[in-house]
Amino acid sequence: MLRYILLRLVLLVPVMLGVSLLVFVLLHLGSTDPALDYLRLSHIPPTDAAIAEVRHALGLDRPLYAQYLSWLWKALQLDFGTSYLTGRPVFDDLLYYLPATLQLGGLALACTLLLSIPLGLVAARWQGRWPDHAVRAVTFLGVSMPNFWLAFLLIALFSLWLGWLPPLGRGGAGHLVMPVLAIALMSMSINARLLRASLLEARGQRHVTYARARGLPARQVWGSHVLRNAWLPLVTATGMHIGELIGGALVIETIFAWPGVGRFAVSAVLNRDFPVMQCFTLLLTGLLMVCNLVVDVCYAWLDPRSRLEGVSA
Amino acid sequence: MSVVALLRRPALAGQNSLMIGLVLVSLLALLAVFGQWLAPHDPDLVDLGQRLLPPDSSHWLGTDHLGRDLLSRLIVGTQLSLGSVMLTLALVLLLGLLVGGVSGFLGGKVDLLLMRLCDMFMTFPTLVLAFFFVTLLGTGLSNVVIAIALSHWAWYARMVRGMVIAQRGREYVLASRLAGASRWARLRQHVLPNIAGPLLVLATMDIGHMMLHVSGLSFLGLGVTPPAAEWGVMINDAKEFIWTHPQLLLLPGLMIFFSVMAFNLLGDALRDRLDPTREVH
Amino acid sequence: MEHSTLELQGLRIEGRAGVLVEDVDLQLRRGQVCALVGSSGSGKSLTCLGALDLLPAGLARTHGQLLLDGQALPAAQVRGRVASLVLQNPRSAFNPVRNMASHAQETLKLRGIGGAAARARMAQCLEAVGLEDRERVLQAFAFQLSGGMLQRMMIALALMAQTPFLLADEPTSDLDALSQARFLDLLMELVQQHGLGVLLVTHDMGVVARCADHVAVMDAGRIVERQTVHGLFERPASAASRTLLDAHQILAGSTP
Repeated sequence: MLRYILLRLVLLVPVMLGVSLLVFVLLHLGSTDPALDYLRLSHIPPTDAAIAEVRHALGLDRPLYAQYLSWLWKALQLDFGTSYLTGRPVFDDLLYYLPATLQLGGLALACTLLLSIPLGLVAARWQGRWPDHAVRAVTFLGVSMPNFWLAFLLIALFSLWLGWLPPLGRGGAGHLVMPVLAIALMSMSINARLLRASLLEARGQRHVTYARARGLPARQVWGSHVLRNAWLPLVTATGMHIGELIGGALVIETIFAWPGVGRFAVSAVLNRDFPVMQCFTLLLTGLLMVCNLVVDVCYAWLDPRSRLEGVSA
Repeated sequence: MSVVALLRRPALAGQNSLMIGLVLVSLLALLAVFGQWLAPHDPDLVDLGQRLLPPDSSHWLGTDHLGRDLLSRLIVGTQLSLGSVMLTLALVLLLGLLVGGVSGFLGGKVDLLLMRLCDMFMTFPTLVLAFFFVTLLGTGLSNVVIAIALSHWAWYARMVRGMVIAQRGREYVLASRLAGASRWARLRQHVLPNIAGPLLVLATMDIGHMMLHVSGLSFLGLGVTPPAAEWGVMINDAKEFIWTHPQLLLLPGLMIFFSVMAFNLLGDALRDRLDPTREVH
Repeated sequence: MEHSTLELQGLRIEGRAGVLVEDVDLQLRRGQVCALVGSSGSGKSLTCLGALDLLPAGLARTHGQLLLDGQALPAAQVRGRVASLVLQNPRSAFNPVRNMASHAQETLKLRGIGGAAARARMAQCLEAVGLEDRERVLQAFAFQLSGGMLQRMMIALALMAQTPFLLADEPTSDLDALSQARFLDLLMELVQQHGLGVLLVTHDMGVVARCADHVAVMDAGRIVERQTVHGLFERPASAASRTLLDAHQILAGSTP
């Protein structure tokens, strides 16, 4: 098991390198000239002399591989350059804003899991009867609803009409409720449906029949043989959810004026702030890869088939 | 099983949702195609003297902050939304068929490399990838379409590859008997009809998802930009008026919601039809 | 002997396609093997599962009851206490993410045996069924053991449950000839030494000839003939049994 984890961690390195190279190359071969963007954002008129000067200052007149290597060298020392827009070190800024986003994303993940599990269980347990239909209806709506629209609906309901919750900003628990709900609804619905399907499939498996045949009481059959096996697809799905939740956070933050990475990144995209985009993409890639690793490890722990070098008798 | 055979199956439990889904999607398609003629006013006509009017006999849903008729903009928005999603879907299917087909057909190193590429693209959530590509390519509908297509194609490629590989296995048996007919011809004859069904189901279930991404990106200002009458853009424009004119915000969102639901309903029903032996859905 | 007969009366199973099994009566006696034979689709496996009310979704037992020594007993009380089940395709019968030991432990816990006593009993039962290398088998998962070993494990679990009766649904169909022979030897040993009462569902007349005392022949969901094993082979009364015997002769050579 430990070996598996170490191996995966080691494999992370070439993938990250590959992604960083790809990102770098794409950004620098893109349709615009980074020098022009820099001048534009610094409000310096783009005369030929100014462009040449900036190009030299930013090292853009060197061959591409040299640029990449110097970028890589600095990146390993956690120096991702300075933002074209703000002039501040990129890494520091991103690190400053990241915790707020992670807070939203983390809570949304917890919300997803905590809410979807009882829903999925109820739907599977009373399949075909009204609790099942209710859950399926709710999850169907949840999967179809645009999260930014839901956010506004929640604001309209809880802030404008009822006045219970503050509409903007980061603060106490009250500030968290609406953003987290808006982000989590879709993933929660997907997860509930997945759990329901997984439970129904697990319930129809032969080993469940055999467990019943051995006289095990219904609750034990359900717990040890149905539930225990139904978790597996959900673990795999969690990796996908994390990605979607982070994406959702990026959108929702702008609505609630949440001081997270999302708003920062959106302005970077609109202003073509290359150093920021580069660091942002890499940071998120790394984060997602680590999350996927954790998910895979959990899966391997739950399913012995994937970790044992199964030698049959 | 071919698409035609799929739809001719005798009535099963899910037939109602299939019918409803088809009807709703057809309605949307009609709106998209004929929207310009159905809209009572010019959706782009700015008239500041008429801004922020409540619903009346001339403007059934009122006007927005630039005096444009809300109903007309909603109707025309269908064209943009459906059109962009269909474009994205076309691109995704193209990429998926190409990469999946080549990968499954050639096998070996090419297969390995392409599947690694697939894995890489599958790791990135759509929005992160879209952010990156919009930085690269700039804002605008076509770039958003490309960005979203690039984040979805990998799933289709994998599926196509799986089917091609399964078909190749059968191919070798045939090949020993029927010398002569080109492999391409047989692949076209056997693989494509079998793929169409599952691909159709996957695509229909995905359209709703893609629609949410397109409008989400446009909402952020990264996709379609004002003054285009796209639902996501309309919601963004109406943000500041949430206190006074909530309908400017709520109605475009309702259109998105409704459209996505229609496609999801269709997708669910098609999936049930494709595999009715599964009692789980 | 306590609990000497187990009877199934009037079993009727219905599905979407209609009635699949009708009016089936079976008697099991301790120390005897009753074979239930028929061609594929005759309803034998369904009868076995239906007796214990373990039918899969889409099928329902609309009529039938179990009688232990003449007393009616709900299926839930028969399962695992009065009768054990041995299934075809043993690999799918075990939970793929739990090892053999955990299956054994939960079976023994039902009998109120835990801890060291449980481990001793596990060792005893595994030995009784001829599973050497007990530690490795107990720690193994289903995908790590062969079909023959898993089939023996199912018998071991039946022994741990200490049920007087055993319902075996085509237990040898997935095994090679050697494993088959060993398994049947084990079965007969248990019948003779422990007085196990067995319902043996099979389509293989060779197995019937070897093990059975009585035979019930099923065709299209009904029992069409009931005889002792000798009677069946010497004077088959129904078309179904004749077909089965002819097929067996073609495969096996001369009549036993």
